[in-house]
Amino acid sequence: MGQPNRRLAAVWVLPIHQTFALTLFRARSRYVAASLSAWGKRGASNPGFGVSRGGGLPGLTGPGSLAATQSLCSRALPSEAIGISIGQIPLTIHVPPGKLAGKIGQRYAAFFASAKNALPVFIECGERLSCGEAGDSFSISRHAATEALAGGWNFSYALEGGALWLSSSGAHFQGVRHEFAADSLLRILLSQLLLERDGFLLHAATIVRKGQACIFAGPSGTGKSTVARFSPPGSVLTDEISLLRCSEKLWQAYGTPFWGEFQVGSVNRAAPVQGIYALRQAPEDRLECLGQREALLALLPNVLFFSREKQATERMLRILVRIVQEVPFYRLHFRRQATFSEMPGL
Amino acid sequence: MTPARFVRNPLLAWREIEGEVVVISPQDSMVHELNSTASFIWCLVDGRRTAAEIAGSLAQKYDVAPDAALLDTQELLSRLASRGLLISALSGQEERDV
Repeated sequence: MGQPNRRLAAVWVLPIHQTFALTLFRARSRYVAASLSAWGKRGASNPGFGVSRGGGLPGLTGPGSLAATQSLCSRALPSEAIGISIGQIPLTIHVPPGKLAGKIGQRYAAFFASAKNALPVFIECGERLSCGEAGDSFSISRHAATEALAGGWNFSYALEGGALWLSSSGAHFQGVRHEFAADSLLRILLSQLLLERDGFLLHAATIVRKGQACIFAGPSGTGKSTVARFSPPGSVLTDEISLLRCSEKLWQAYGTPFWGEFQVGSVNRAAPVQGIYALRQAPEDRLECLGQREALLALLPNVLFFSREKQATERMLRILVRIVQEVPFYRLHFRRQATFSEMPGL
Repeated sequence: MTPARFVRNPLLAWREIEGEVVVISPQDSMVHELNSTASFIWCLVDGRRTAAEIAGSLAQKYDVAPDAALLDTQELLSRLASRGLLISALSGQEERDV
């Protein structure tokens, strides 16, 4: 039996994936976009961003936390309705007329669509009320108050100065001061809605080649935009946030309005997923086939996921296990040069 | 002192994939990887089996001395508990859905 203690010592290897909270969607914007890569990487943390999930607005994370707002009166507010569809999820964004409405309209122009079953999303620039102790003041939505009286909340998420509240009848964005804030909350909303639709958002660039989508996943700085830059014009669905969904046993990648540095414009179309490539910078280009478990662990740090609920987490885990079982997964070691695209198998 | 019986923390989400368990703690977004031996133990933790019983199965499957298996099993259970992945079965929060 040799050295049983030594042999079993391998049992104790339990590497912990440290969480990191946020990355900036837009470095130029001071608004903290939450990336919200909820899952961390092995041995890695990102304390530089310094914003924690659900931080800043006590009591906002979790269902039924609108008690403080329920005494508010409500009245109809004028708004513009902007119909969009992202990843075949129809939304009608209601936003007060003005500059913000114009910017949101421009931002999502490629995704305009109208659908009767669209989920209403009410955007409020907000009026300041004081809730709780000094310093806890935040925007309270009159719409939200109305909704709170009508029913429970399925999900809420607070993000520096803003908040998202989701119920079965609609979503509310509060404290929205500019389009970047709305964009961040929209990503969070979609990540939650996709859970019920066998999909998820991923920090990844999507490139369509010969009608098939190649997904290049990785945190900021690993080369998503570089991959996009070296790809043929018109082939890039996104260089930052990919939307993947499984419908009728087929995994599809959808274009999103969420872009990083590449910024050539949004494309609202879909393509079947050919493979997922976890990016890693290396001195030479090389493609490494990953097993399902390694693939799952490579995927997790790049998934946008914000819920702290067990059920939602289980559901996400089930979706991720499914995709690593059904879609080829590789680690792409590459030099951040155009030569990577010439590799066999890519 | 390590309690005799544990249950998996019911607040966690976990899946076994390729014979190894991946555990996610939703509250702090931590991902825990267990190797195959730890996964074997994890799957046996049910609030009813004692550490000695789990160690017995471990010794049989991995062909190690029973004493060594027991020591290692106790240490692993203790470490998993210290990370909040397991809780004492005495707390009454037994995991019902396994």
